[in-house]
Amino acid sequence: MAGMASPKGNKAEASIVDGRLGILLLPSWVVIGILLVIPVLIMFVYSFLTQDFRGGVIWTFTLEAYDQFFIDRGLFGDEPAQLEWTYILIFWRSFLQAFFAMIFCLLIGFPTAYFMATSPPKSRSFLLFLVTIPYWVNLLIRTVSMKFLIRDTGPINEWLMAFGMIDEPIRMINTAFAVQLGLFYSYLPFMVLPIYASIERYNFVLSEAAADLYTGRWTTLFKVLIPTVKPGIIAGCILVFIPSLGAFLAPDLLGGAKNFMIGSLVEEQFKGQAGDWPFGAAVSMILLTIIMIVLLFYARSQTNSAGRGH
Amino acid sequence: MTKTALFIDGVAKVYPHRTNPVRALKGVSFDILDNEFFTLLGPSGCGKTTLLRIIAGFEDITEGHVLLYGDDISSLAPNQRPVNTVFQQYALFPHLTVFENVAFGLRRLNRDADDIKQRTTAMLELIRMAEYGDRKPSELSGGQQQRVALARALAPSPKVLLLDEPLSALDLKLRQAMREELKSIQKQTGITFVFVTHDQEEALAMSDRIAVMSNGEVQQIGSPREIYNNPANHFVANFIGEANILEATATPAAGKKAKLTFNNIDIGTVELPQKLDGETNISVMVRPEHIHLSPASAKTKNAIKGRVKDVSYLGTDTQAHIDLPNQKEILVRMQNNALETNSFDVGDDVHVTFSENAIRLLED
Repeated sequence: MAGMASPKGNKAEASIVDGRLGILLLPSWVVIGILLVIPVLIMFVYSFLTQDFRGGVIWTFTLEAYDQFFIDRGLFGDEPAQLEWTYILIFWRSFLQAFFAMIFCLLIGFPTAYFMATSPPKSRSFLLFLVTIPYWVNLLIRTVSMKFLIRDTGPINEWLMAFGMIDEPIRMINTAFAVQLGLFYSYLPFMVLPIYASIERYNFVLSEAAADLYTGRWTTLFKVLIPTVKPGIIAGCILVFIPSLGAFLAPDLLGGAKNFMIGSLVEEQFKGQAGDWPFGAAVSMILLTIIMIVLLFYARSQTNSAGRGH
Repeated sequence: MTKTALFIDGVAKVYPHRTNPVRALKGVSFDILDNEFFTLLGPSGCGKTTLLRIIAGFEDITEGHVLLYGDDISSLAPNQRPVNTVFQQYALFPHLTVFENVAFGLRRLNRDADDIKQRTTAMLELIRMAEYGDRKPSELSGGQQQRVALARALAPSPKVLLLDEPLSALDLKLRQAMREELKSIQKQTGITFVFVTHDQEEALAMSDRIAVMSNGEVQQIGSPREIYNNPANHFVANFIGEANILEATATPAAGKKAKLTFNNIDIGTVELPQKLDGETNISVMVRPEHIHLSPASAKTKNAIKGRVKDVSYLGTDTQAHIDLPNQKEILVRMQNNALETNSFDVGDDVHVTFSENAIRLLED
């Protein structure tokens, strides 16, 4: 229907508009520049500088920060160079945590979004309102509250013991589970909202058409509904995965020292006078590079499938 | 004898509601024959789409049964019924190519790969879109999407094909071309078509038989010719084409015959279903194109006198409203000819005549 907007014949107009368009786009370029490009450039430059012992940097070029990340020369720096596993393991653990947070958010978020989008229009705005309520309270406070809920003497354990379902408190605080719970709770709405938006736009006659063509409910879900709302699902996954990867509140407050994640590692480097700014910047740049590569692959696969048939 | 494809047996549908439940279908019964182009025609809200959705299985039935070649399918889920639907807004799967859309039903039926390829290709050829297999639906025009929707529904060789106002989203020229195409595809495939529309012209042009519906009831079933020429009641007469309904006075004549007069003018003799006891008022219908106008100056036998209220020139026809002395107006439609003999002006006194063969009796 509207998919074939014709760019032909508008070329003359377009070139006149282009000049004006440039001026109109200026504010957004300024915002992107100040808030995005310049900070990333600063980090990029800092990652190649020398650490100052009171925090901050000394303007001497060095690869020291990247060397520290990847290469292990022993405690006094005099042993043969080996691959440094400490930070790679933190990265790996962070990716796993973020990945599982994304999967759990998807498993719970999709049915929630489906339920919301298929509710009568009147109750939809109320349900949306409910989803946004937690955001009225600061994330730090919510994460601390979570800590009180799940600690050994917290209400969950006390109730379970009071009802005689367990004899000893279940250890939840300072475990990977607690981090997972914190990430899931913090970012669930980021999964629900984009999926809700795309299911709300979904034309349910498509499901009828599938049923008409001999398709059962579950096959309709996987062959028609999910592929049609896929952009919403992917948006939700990105919105959960990326902030989970860099999160430091949940791992810090709920995970304890054993569940250190990238976010906490970076945070440490910039905190107080013990920090190592170039190293923190280097860790950020490595993370940024990995995410960029993943997103580029995703964008590539999208344009390929959209361009099929031309 | 022709087999019955679908038997609609006392089907009723009530949409529950706390205060006013809606009776969308009030117990309709009729049959649709094998290899027939059958149309459900009626204004919006008459229950035609509800009936179609009941046949497809999208709505459950409140009362009655639907039999498909003798088997009761009333309780089957839509995906278990060997009927397919062409939806009003096509409902093509946006993420699949044209080929995969058409092959969709075949894949769900687990046909083997060669069979799917062959059948899908044949369907794309049938709708003359063989070279469009790799396109996405969003890259097609409305008419092309319509044809893909048709091919998709035909591919699994349904026992009955249901079409829910499939032409209503197309522009006039395309709609007329698609009528021909649908009709010819129905003949080629030999599949029974059940077509829903509110467009009487569409129904007349394509159907073998038409069921005219209103208010959740079937008003009349018959061929386009029967329905147009012998409408059963006021509703059908007014809904199909245009109709002049005249209140005439009938006086008994020989046998079941009766002499009709209108405004004290003798308009003819007709045969009634039963013998009249005495003088009665009855409604008769005359189609606008069966009425003849002549100048008041002309000597015309048994003419009703009238005055031209307005005249519209419509190209092939001229249409005029004529005020009659003691009743409402009537509509006259005259074919324009080379001699331009139909030139009447507003305010002209005219004589209105029609043959007694043009008179149709209506049930009340």
